[in-house]
Amino acid sequence: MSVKGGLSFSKMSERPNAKLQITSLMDVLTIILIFLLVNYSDVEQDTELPDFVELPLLLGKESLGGKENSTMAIGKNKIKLNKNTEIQFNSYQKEKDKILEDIHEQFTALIQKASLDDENKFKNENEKEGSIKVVLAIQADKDVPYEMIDDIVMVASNSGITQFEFVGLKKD
Amino acid sequence: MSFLQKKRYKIPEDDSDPMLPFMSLLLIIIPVLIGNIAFYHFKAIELNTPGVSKNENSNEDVIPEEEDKNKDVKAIIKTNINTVTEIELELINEDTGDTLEIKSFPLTPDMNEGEEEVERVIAQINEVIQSYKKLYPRLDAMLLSIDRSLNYQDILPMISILQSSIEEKKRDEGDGVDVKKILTMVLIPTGSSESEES
Repeated sequence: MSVKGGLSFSKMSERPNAKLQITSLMDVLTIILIFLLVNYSDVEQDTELPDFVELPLLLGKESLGGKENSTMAIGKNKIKLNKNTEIQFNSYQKEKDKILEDIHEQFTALIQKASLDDENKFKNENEKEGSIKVVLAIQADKDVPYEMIDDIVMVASNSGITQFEFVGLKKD
Repeated sequence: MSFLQKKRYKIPEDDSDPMLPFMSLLLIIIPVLIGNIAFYHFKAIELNTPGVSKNENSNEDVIPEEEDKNKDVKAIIKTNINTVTEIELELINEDTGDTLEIKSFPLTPDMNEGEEEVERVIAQINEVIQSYKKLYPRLDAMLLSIDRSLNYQDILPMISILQSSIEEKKRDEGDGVDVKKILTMVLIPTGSSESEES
């Protein structure tokens, strides 16, 4: 297959033992396999991390939680509950009342949806008792003041949500 | 032996690469692993707010006889997080509201870096909580009061330390470790009203 001699297909087909060289491909696949095995998780990960939130890092070996069924992302200028529309604001202090009112509406809708789901799920009244359980995971940006989180927890408590998970990124 | 050797030579030479079966296996395994890959490794800290403060993990312990005098006292631990440099535990008599004891645990600036330092503080707080639990068997909750001026980044490692401090690790029948929470962490949201008043 020299340049001087030109490319001849007939010559190529006549070459004995034409094998596919897979050694380099094997190396790549082995590296990918190791990377995937390290990052493998047997828990289905539905939780997305919005781009406006940078979570703080946490030390620790165990990954607790995973009971959440609703997620609230709190950024410096945006708040988002599950897949609802984002609540955007310029200054939390100035627009606090309106923001908290919007959040309260979203929480109320969430609780109503959860209770409707439970009604469909549990036909028996005894089973239904105490089954409405909304666990809210809070993913707040690392620079968000606790004041904001405190207000939101307060609104959530008033709406009937009493279980929370504060989420951080596990530091390796 | 010679017969075997003869037979071995008769096997037709396989032109395919001997690594091909392994390659095929990898091509099946890799898409399965990609489907289950975790791009983020979250760590979540479970908290309750007043209303649901029943600890599902706690069981009714047998009260030793020498602790009879305190067995009816309903005590509660209030944890104050006011600065990033200190965690304050306040043991309160829930019926009278009297403060029974206050203990402070200073935190060093390298708390976010050194795992050993974190482990040391966790062990200290855990020891104190265990001693309170022995004195007041009805102690079942830890209230969390957090200063509103702090950032999420400041408070999360501190809550994580407290979360680890209320865990009791016991070896189960197998080689695994059984983790049981001895207290329920209850977050006290102060709301905007308190700060406005002050």
